[in-house]
Amino acid sequence: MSGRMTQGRRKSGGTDEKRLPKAVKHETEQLKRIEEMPLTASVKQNMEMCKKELGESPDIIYRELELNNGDNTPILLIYVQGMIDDERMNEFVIQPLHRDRYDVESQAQDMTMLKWMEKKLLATGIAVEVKDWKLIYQKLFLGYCIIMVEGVARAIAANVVGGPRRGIEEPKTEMVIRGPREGFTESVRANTAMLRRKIRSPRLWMEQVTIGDLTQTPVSFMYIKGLAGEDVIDDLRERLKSIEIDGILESGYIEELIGDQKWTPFPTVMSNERPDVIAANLLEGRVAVLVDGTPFVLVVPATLNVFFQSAEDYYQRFDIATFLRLLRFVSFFIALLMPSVYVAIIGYHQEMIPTQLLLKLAAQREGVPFPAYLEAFIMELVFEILREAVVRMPSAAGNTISIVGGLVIGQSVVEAGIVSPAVVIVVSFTAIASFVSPNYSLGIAARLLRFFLLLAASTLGFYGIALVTLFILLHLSNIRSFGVPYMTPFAPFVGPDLKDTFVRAPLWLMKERPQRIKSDNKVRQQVDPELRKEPGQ
Amino acid sequence: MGKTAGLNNSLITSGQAAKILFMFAMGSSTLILPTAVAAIAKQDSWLSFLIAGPINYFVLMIYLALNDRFPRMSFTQYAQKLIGVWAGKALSLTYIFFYLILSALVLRNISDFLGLSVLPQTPGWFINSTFMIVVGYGVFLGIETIARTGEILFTWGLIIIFVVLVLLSNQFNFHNFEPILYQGLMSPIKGSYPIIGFPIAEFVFFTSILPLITKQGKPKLRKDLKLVIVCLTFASTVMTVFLIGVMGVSEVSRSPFSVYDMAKYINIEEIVVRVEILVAIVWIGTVFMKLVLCVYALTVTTAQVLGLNTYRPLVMPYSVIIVPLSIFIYRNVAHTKEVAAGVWTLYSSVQGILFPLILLFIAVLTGKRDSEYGIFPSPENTDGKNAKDSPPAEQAEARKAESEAEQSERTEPEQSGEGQTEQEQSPPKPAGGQKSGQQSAASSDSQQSPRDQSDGSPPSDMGDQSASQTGQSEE
Repeated sequence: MSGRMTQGRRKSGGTDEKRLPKAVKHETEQLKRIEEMPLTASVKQNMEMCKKELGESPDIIYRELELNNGDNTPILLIYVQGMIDDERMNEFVIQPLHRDRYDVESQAQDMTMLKWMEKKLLATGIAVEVKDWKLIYQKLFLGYCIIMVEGVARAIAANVVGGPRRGIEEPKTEMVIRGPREGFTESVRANTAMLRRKIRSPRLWMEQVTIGDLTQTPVSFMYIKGLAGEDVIDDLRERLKSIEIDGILESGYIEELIGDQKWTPFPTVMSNERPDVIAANLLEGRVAVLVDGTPFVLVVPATLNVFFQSAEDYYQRFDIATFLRLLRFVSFFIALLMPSVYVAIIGYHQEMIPTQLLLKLAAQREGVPFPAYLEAFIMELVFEILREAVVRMPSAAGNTISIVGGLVIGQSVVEAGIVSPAVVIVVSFTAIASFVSPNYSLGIAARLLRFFLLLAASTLGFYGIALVTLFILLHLSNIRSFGVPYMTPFAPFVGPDLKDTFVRAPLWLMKERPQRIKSDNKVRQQVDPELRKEPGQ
Repeated sequence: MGKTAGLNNSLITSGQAAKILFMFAMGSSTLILPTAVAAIAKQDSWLSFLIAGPINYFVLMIYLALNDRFPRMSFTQYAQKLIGVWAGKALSLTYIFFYLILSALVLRNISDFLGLSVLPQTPGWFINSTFMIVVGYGVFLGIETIARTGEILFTWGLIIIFVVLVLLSNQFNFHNFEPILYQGLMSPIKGSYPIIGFPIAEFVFFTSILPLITKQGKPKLRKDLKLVIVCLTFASTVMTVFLIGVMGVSEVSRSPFSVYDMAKYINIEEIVVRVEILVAIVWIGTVFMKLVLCVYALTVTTAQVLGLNTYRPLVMPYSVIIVPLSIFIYRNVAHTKEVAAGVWTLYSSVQGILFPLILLFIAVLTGKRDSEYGIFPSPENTDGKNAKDSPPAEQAEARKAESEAEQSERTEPEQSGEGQTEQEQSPPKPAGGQKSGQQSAASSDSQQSPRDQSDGSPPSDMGDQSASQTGQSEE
């Protein structure tokens, strides 16, 4: 299976050599040749070479120094302005270079100048020796400072990464009333550290790959060794490595490229920007994928059930959590089905409506020029347009739109007799219900499928709805996320896992981890047998 | 293929198999069966369903006994082993025809129902073709997906049926059952005649599902099937009890889709009225499952007769055949009743009970058994493209090696003669009987060839038993 996946993905990966224009291909080749060239021993020559290759970009600073060792050996520092921390650079790199003497004592100890710098001089956390341009560029654009010394065909890359970064803020997508307020940031290291701060275990392992020919984006994946299924990890590693693309700007790229199923509206990879949610998933034996440059962390394998779980479910008492969970499922079905059920009832099954209500509805619909399904379709479309407009607008203009959209269109369209008030009610309620879903990507599926259901309801009534629902059900039963059937634990039915689906069972009942994530260690809570003993025994 | 390959084999658990069997049976037995039964057994028709309960299991026993001898093969494949390749293929052709007719009938049932009660102005061919598209999609996706869908529909179907019955409880009238057994016990026994033909003999589709059940599921299979038969008997009996209690015998025997009509009686404070469409939706689900399974059995049997290594190319052509066939297979609903009550039981009993019994008899007499993998299309084709990755010959070889390795473990079916004797003598503890069989086999010579074991007394035991089964099922 994984073999098939890899092949499929390669085809869709962005930079297939054949598809690139000739000029670009030529340039890439040239770039590769230069990257493979070794460093020279002359600082001047290196600088010229570097300048030529980087197109004399002004943000790349070449700082020339002289070493304090008697014969003033020239030293060259290369760094990218804005990507380094200036103060750290001054204090821990430049100052030591000026101040300290490279003395005979060190030479006597058989220490080369670079080793001496690395071991004794530089006061930075990471300082590594680099030999070729490829590595130098990699480090340079990560925010390292490259140090070259005359007469040595090697360089040192010192970590002075800095520059402006967004701080830790409260996540915007999934608000909680009770629960931690921190959200992931755009820096992958800060994010992994946040997870480490939650799970302080030596078994929290991390692996890293660099994806994107041009963006060179660091992508890390974390898991708890012994909890996460080895085959999921192997599969993920394989899939990540087989991605060939020019750039990864957001974890959405990865999500789309590693997903099992290409043609599905349903998300098979979960994303979230809350460290507590990701930590909880790690504890259940899933694997988290962190991508540099985005606060959205991916979690695999993700089954349908996961998208109905909210962080707060576990921070509140189980009774209210269960109630909210049920509410969420109901809302999902409302968001999916309500307009089509309305259309089916009005168009085909009027007998289902109690007589009083039917008379009311009939009176409202009197004089409305369109059939019910067209009304519903128009209003759904209007709503989607409004929603998209409000999301993209600056918040100041957003208010205007909501007034224009909500009041003007909503009210006057009814007053003018173009659509009936019932449709407006149905569509607005659907809209509200669609916002209940804690996960945005599942809401998208409901949004898209709603239109298909509407179409089916307008042509075949309830029978149409049943058919499309069956179709969706078949599709849901068919797809998998990293080998785990998407509808687990409903189908295949896993009884014990039902404790965290429609209901959220009390924590003291959920003694085992979900079984079908193929995690290797099942027991989540274990009472020490010593404590269980009766006092007299 | 990674380590996840095991999950991708199209194998289903015993629970899933039991659930789809339930869905299959409910598909027809709730739709039109009560009408046919009520016409014969009147107010005692609920007893007919109780009587039919054990027969369900005895018919399944035939398939299970055959499956024990050929655990990895479907009906067509062991038929070819037992009575020769060409005779086996000829026999399979009758099954292909049977499944084809059955699929058309089921499709016609649902479209009749929808046309008469829900969508009176929609042309039948449109309902048929839209339904068939979804069914074809389901069959195309394979048995695993079908089984999972069945699991979900099973749960929802049960919930909705339960809700409907609860809502109906205020309309219940016990006087409708009187007089109980007015015409003696014979009338409910006669009433079970259509039940034998209707869902029970059609269970022969299950022979295509049995070889797909996981190795871990096999020991639990009998228990699960017994449970599901109990559930099925219970559900259909309760349903009939409600039908008679709510509508009265004369209504039930007149209405073509009685449960649907029963749901029309629901009236809670004039607010919850006319919710029969909910029942219709449940039916669409159960009939959908039944049709999917029929078409699956049809395509798989055809593929196996023709020696194809996948059934998928057949789904589309068969769908195109089934839709028009369903339109001219009956003239009208009255004709449906006539065929269902008169002809169908005989025809399907021949296919579903008689032929398998004869095969079982031959198997017992010749002592043939074979735990080799049949050339079953599905295991290598859950992910259609998967099969292309590795040449089929290699897979077949790997399979063979695996099956050989398992042969020593698979003492349970090899001992089936003995194991079953025990089991049938004490039905409540099948697992124990099997276990003891397994243990004794494990302790004794596990390399003993299957043939050696089967030429003792056990086969004759089996023969006796199958004869007794025939007796019981013909009652």
